Amino acid sequence: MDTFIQVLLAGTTIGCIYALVALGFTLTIAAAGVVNFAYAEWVTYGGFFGVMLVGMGWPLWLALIGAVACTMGIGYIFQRVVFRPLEGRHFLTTVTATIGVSVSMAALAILFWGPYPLTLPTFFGSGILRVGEISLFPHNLLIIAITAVLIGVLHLGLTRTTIGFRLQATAQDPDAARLMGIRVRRMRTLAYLLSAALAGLAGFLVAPLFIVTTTMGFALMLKGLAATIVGGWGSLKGAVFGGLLIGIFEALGAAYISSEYKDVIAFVIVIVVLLAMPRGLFPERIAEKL
Amino acid sequence: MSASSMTPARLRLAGLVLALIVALGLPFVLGSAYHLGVAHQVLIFIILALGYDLLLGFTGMLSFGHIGLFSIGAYTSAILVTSTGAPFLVGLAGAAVLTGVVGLVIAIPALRIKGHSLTLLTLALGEVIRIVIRSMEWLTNGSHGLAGIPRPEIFGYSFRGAVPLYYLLLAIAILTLIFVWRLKNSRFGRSFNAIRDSEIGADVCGVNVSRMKMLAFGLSAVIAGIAGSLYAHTVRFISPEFFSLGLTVILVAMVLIGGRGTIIGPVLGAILFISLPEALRFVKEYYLVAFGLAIWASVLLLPEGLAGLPKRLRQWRVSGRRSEVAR
Repeated sequence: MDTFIQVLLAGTTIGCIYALVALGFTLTIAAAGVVNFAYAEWVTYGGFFGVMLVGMGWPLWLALIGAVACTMGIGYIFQRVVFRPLEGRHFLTTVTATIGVSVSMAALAILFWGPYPLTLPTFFGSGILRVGEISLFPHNLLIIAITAVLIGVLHLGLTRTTIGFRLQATAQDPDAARLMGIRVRRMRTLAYLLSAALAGLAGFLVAPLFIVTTTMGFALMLKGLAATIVGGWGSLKGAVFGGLLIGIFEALGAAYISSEYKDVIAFVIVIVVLLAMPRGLFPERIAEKL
Repeated sequence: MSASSMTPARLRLAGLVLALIVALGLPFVLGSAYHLGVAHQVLIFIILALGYDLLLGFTGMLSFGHIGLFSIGAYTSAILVTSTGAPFLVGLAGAAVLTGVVGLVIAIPALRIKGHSLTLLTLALGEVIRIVIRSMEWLTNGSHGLAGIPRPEIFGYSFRGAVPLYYLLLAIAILTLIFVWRLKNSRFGRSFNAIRDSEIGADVCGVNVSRMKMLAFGLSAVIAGIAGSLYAHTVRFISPEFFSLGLTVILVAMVLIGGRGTIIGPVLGAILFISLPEALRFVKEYYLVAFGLAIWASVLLLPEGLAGLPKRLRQWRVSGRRSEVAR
């Protein structure tokens, strides 16, 4: 039982990271129809910015804010040079173009930070909390807490504030939103910045769990993609639940079935969900058009 | 055929003959084994990219699992030949049959799924294939890879030398090219294009969409299997790391930047994306930065790829002239 709870907690932790990645990935799809495969690099850069700022002697909390700010800067540059020409283009075009940019960013990361893995400390050192027989990593609890608060704030912001309403209107129908006097461009920029902030946060928070490498974000984005498919394409709620689901299943599978096939589990879930419910657990209502 | 379209047709024929002469004479120009090795890879990837174009360019389905099929072909052939001592042709046939079957099995769920879901489903399947290959150590030697795969030998004639192997690969590449070209101008090719342009429209016009999609998947899988087998016997060492998603990206870029839905496009793309990284090996990271930006720019500026460049140039020239006249 104790191992079960332990495994469940580990799964929830990594599930929260997947949820953050999936949420950021879904935001640009929902707001502007842009499928951003360069998201992997945003997450990686989040981790690397953290390492860089800590290396410059910044305190950890300031480095976190700095890393998020830097990734938001990348998001803003992307909005200027990458996303605007892509808005409204075919899926194939956005996927290929963003993959191209992501290849460049990965190579640049190696040029800047070198090919060797780096590490980032946690806020709590390497201490372990003990509750009965269960040992807890404070950093894992921090990840869960930050994710929970963030998703709560995001939910309230989207459903209770006028900016949230404007963002939703933009996502549903940009033309109608523009006619209602909503500045669609500005709303999309906001969505990109939010997406980038989530990437930076996920990259920074996950760094102490693993090591910071140039392929770190890619592995996370694959899981994030799996989460968006499981949850339902373009659905924010789906992204969160999909991420948690995949994280927990993965941890359980690694503990009780086979750790060797751990990475297969997420993809098996994707395949099963796509076969059983092609629109995911929380489908968006979209009609097929000729 | 009108007089004005005669010239491009003749030009095309001349270009074809010239390309053939260059391809046949290349081993005499390329002295070193290293350069011939690059040429081998180019030919294998021409075969692979032509098959992939059936799926992406002809039928409009973006699959990210194609390298998975390629790896199944490579491993099937390598294991058949090294562990049972079967001749090369048996390995090749086994690879083609097995990948064809796997391709058809993948096609069944793919019939219900479209667009981004299809892409992600195939991505998931490709990753599962790679991880299963890595984990089945008793059969595939895991992440250490399989080494010592023999060069092809057909009816006692050995293609051990680099030059004979080059001509074998060239012959198979040309056969694939002719096959894809014939297919493009057949009823099936037109059905594929109809599905790409509008699935509902194709259905209304009497195209059996499911059967045609299965056919496209199956054929491109068989070609991927053949390419995989050739790769295994050419490079003589295969490991799961080579068949990564990075290679998928390169394959997609080959077809897209070369020009999807054309014959010349994948050929150009394969030549470009295999020989260029080898030539620019000493500036690898810088090359990758430029490579990524080139993908991005070409998708936005040249939606038809390099194959559409002459048409684009003509358009730009005409529109340039028009604006001059307007002035």
